[in-house]
Amino acid sequence: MKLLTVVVPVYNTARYLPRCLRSVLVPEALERLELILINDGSTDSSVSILLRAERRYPQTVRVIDKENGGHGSAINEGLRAASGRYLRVLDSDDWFDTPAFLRYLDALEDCEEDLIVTPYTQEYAAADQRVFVRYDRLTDGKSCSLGELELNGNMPYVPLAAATWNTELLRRCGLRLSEHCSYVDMQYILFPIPWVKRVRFIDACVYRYSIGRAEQSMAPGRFLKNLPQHERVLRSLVDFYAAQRDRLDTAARAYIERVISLMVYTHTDFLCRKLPGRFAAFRRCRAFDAYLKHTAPSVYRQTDTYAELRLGRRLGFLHLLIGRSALPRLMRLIHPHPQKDA
Amino acid sequence: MKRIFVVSWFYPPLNSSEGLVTARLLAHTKYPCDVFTQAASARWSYGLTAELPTADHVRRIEAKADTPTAFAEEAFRYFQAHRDAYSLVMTRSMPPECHAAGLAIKRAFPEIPWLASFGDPIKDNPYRHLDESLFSRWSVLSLKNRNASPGFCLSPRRAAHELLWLLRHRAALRERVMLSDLEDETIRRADRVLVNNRSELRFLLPDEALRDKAVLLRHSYDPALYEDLPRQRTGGKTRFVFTGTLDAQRSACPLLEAIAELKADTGDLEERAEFLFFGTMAERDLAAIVRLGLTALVCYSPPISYADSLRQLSAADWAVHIDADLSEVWHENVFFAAKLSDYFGAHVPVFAIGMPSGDVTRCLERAGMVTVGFSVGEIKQALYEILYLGRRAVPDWDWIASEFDVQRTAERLDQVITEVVPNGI
Repeated sequence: MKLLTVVVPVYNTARYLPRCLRSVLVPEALERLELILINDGSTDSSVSILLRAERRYPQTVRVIDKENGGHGSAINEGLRAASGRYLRVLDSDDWFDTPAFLRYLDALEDCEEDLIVTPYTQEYAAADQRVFVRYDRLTDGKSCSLGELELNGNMPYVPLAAATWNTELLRRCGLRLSEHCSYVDMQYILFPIPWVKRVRFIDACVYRYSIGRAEQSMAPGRFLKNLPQHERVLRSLVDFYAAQRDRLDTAARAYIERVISLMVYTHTDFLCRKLPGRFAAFRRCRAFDAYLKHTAPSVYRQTDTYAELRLGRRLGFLHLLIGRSALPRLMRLIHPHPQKDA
Repeated sequence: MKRIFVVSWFYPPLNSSEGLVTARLLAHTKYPCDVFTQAASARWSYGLTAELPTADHVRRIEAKADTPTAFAEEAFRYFQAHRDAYSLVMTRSMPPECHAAGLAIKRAFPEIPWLASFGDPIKDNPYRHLDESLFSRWSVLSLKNRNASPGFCLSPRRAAHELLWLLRHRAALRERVMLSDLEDETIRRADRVLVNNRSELRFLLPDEALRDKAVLLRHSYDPALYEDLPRQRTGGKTRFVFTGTLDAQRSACPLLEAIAELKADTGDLEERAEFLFFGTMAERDLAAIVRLGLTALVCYSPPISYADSLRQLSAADWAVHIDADLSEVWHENVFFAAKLSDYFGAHVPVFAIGMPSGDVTRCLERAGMVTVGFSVGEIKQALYEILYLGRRAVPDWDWIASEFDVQRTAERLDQVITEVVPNGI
């Protein structure tokens, strides 16, 4: 059994694929690595790059060619095919830092935990911009429970770039991500949480998350366009939480509530500020808020700690019909950092 | 046979990329040329340290003027006094005042064909738009605000800020108007507009109707200049060489930080690699070498002669190219550094740090060179692959020669000259 399966969903990223593959397919890693490359219906030259890698490294690389179904469908396919003890996802426009990757593999040999956390960097296209997500409160090599996991305030959860899962755990929890949809990485990082007992931190900054390109789903222009997909994923997480709530332990419940709250804040913030049409924004905010209050009251209460959202709720979001900028300006006067109350 | 009158502020022995490109090109054209140039001012150059073999059919006429404006006036007066000797004018920017001379000549002598070569865009040079002493960040004319919302454009607050800026920077506004008029008029009146890359062509001539007069003439190298130079070394540390100018926008800091991270990660980088910089370096970069503890890995030397720079390149394992990050003002790189042609001529692989879009990146990728963005992580990863995993560039020297060999470029120029001077020089 290989130590690690790396699943790489690929869709029209021929420009970035060589960088991604070169960073992973290094001699010292090949024996321990299973690299599953999922071609999700690319129309550029991605598939020829993938097949070349498969021919060159037949003991390590497997290419799965499928019809386009989105990021989630590719990860689903990769999980079905995975045979490594651990699994992580590497997006094809990102890459691994090879020295850190090799250190990480060495440390992974001794792991038995359900979830492995590693730091990562956000690499911006423009010069002089780079964000390290370090998890300073965690100790290298230390194993702990989910409740003992102390994450940074600015990244209070373990995103895709930082997460390595025990493959068997993913199978046990029946992980299946939504298809033809963006933002499913939030499902990827939350759906397995109820099954997580032990977590380990490996201080190797492996994942290099390339950010700042206009075509990415988190780019502001694309996010607005994909808002319905974001809401679809968010509702799936809320429904999931509601269904699992009674069997969650305290730590898992707190973790999931925290992540969903953050997503709710981002979502309503976009609805309030950016969605064209005041009446459309008003209607959508109220509808989503009512759904959240009904389905997940504890998450609803937790999101009430965001001052701007709380005030918006008290106003019934009527302020959106009058002028969107009035409330944010008022909040900036009252609270210089109007996100979360201290 | 008459001659071509070339106006070029930069020309050997003045050591500057633009002058060297001009000299190499003219040495291989079949037409006799008089190059009106100057040596009174070494500003914007590396000094009088560029010696090239002389070409019998190229004469050098040295102006007395030491400012671009006076130089342009002197060039016009010289041409006026010797009009009958010439059947074609070519002006080469930078500086833009060379085109002012061409414009004056064309106004006085409309029958004379005129080739205007743009080393860089003038009126909307992206470098200028990055400089807030030249373009206000509140200005709707600034390229930084090219995608601004209507709300921003119509905002009274923005307009007030811009007005205040204009009142405080009247000289910059006057210069901007002058450059704008100069470029527009040059493009309108010149018989041909010479550019050195496709991105510059698109940028300079957004109006497709004007593109008929555009000619792509790449910066070129002369293989003969490298014949007696030592070939690349074998064995020893992997040597990376940079020659040229670094400044606040074109900074070595991402590379230096990547080197520092790689050094910390691997522990033996000093035994494997060395990075030599020749030319000018911004204070911030020099300070970074010390701050990051790279003095054993990175060596900086002030500008050297052109011949020495070619010697250094020929002995390098990799040539380092660093471009400016212009993404704040434009979506692609519109520049093509003339120094790259020196790199190609030295037959040394290029490690290029620059924007992901632009003709220069496309050419470097087509040429089989290694190209990375500005992110420290990406640069570090590429260096690691080269130094520890044996990654090689796979240069396509045949393609490079077909695009950048001076013989091919000179033939293209001769063809253009034949088109604009149908009865011959």
